[in-house]
Amino acid sequence: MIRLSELVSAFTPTEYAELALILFVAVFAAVMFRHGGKRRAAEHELCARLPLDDGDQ
Amino acid sequence: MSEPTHATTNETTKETTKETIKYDDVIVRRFLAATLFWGAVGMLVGLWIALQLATPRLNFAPYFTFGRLRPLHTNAVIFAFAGNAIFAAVYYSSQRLLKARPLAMLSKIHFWGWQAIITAAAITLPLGFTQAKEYAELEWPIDLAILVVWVTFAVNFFAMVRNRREKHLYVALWFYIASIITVAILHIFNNLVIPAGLFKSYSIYAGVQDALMQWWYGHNAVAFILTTPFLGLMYYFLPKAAERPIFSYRLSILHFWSLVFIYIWAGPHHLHYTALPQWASTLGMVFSVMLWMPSWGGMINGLLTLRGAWNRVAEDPVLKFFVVGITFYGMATFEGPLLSVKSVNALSHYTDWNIAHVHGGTLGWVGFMVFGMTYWLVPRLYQTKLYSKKLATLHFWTATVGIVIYVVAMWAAGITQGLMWRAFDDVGRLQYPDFLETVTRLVPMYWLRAFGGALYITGLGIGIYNIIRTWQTRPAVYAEPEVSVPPMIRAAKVAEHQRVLERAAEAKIHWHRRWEGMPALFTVLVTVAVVVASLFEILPAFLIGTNVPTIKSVKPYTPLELYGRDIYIREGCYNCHSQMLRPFIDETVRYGMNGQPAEYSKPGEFVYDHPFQWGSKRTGPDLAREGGRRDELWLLRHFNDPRSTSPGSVMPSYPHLLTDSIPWDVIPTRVHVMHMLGVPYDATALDHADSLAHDQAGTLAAKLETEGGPTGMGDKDVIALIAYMQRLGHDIQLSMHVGGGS
Repeated sequence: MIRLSELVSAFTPTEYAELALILFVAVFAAVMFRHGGKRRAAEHELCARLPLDDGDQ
Repeated sequence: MSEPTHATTNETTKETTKETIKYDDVIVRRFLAATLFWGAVGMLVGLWIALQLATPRLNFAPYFTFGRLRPLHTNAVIFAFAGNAIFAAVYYSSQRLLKARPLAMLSKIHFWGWQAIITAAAITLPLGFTQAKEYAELEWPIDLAILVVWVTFAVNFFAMVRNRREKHLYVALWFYIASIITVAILHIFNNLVIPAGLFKSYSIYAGVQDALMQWWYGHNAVAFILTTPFLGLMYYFLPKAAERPIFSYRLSILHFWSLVFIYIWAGPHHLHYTALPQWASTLGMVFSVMLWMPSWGGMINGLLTLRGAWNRVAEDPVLKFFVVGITFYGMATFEGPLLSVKSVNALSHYTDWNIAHVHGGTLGWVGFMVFGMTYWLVPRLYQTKLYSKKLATLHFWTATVGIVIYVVAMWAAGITQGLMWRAFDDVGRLQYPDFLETVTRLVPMYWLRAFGGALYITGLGIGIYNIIRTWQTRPAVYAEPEVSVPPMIRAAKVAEHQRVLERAAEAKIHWHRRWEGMPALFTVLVTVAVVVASLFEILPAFLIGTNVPTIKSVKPYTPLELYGRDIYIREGCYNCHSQMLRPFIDETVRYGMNGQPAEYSKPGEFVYDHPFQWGSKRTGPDLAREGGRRDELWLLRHFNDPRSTSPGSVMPSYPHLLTDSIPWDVIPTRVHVMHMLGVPYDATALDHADSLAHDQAGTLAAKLETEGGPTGMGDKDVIALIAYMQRLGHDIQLSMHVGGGS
């Protein structure tokens, strides 16, 4: 059975760093894609008002 | 929240089954009072240690020296002042955003448990009980108590989420969830230790790996205690105070996910040019620079929320505090990435520039957000008018001027210090070869810093007076805020909720909205983001052997040196001395010996250092190559009265080291615990640790006497500390044999 240290050593530290950046760009792009446009404007407007409509003064 | 098309149906349901609940503001009042009390204590200790650096006569050994009080200051302001403020904000805003009440018993356990922990910290740190890891100094029994109380808080919070009447989780709650989850992870993994006594333990990590874990924790403590909860606070209280919604909800989503994803990677920027492998350091720098963007997104979102309300800023102290607090957030999150750039860090690291940066963030961002929130909450919690708006405004201006003086003084000190350390004269010699020159030059700036800090605390005093006077006009009995709410989502049938979600799915409602309606999944995703990022950085550092090449000449500390190291830890020497020579010519020359430059620090040197002692500040010189530089008598005199050997030194005196006896019986236990951690002590060391320690102490004491030192030091703490100091860098001065990772 392959050991965890062998598995981790299969990549160089630089490759881990590159993978990290790719992961971030992917997450960022996904959030931007979903939220970047105006089609959610009404929904966002509604959410933004939550603290003002929380029954408090 | 549901789609407008569904609103009518839901509204009908709500109208027929409305309930009333009462918010629990008792817990908010308690945490707010604790915030102000501990804030005053923590900041006064901060002022005291600032004065100690300007005039070392204010050190009173053994309990009230800089090394023991500085952790008390940092822990008090982070966990007591900021911590209690976070809890006040969370309990107030979450009840209203979720339309749910916390569980009274858990709230009580949370409050009193947290105050007991802070009290324990205030007692144990001056006594010298410390793990010697910045912001994680508290020893293992207190760490366990923190875990229990934090879990209590988490259960109480998630119980509110479960019992909520509002389906949508507002963005402030996401920040709270991220904080609760991440702080738990950080706390557990950075504090993994093996106890060697009731208040003594050794980190399971050593050297480079311990450093990486510590700054993964340290940086993210800044992120998930001093940043994300306060962003949650901002997203709730700023719209309330401005009476308008947040500028861009879309931007807040981007802000949240970018921050949670990026922050966790940035820790290694605290270790540039150290023995940490370069890939980890560079990774930390890149992510730190990236962090600038979401941080400024959040700042812009906050400031633009005030569009159309700027005229009110001039007259409303709450908005004043918020505007300046958010501006400090922007400044600190610009300065942070700047300091993480390696070439800037080469100058700034170990200097007072970091102190300026940290205090810009804590006094400016955290402090002002807390004060803004406090002034907004106080009339509502005490159900009366604020005693004096003028005093609140005076508090604002006093504190603002105080911060500016503080930060400018420390910028000047830091840059002066960094430039002096690296200055060479025309013929290539260090321009300031005596480290003391770089210390005495800073003393006027230390006075200025203390003045700025005193102003800030004066402002706090004015604030506390104002709040006490407000509290005195409270009603005899508080009215409990009561609101009419829809039925509990859980009670209103999971099936109905499921139908809503299904309709949402059919209508292709945004996936994020659906996550927000499913807090468990949302929490899991946040956890995954944090854990995956952590593992990417930590696993290679632990498991790829080439990260820490072994050095054959590096051997475990002798039993006496190990105990001497524990004294170094107990006295908090790491607060002012680093043990890390960076690969810079000015450092290798400065810390060289006999005209030869020193070796810069290598990862393999620290494999037996549980915990690592690299430090983060050089108020005094680096000690990585201290062994053999001075004789034993010089060291003894220096510990007894630093100014007798180093005129102008700001180091505290430690006369008790010459009178306190070594507790020989603890040494074998400590050697055995180290052995459990993998330090290769042989059978002789394991079986005869105390007699080995006695022998070495006797030899050193005899040497001390031949140097003209006092007699009878063979069983005193000072001899153990001298043994440790003489060992520092000793192994690396031997011939080095670098092998493969093992």
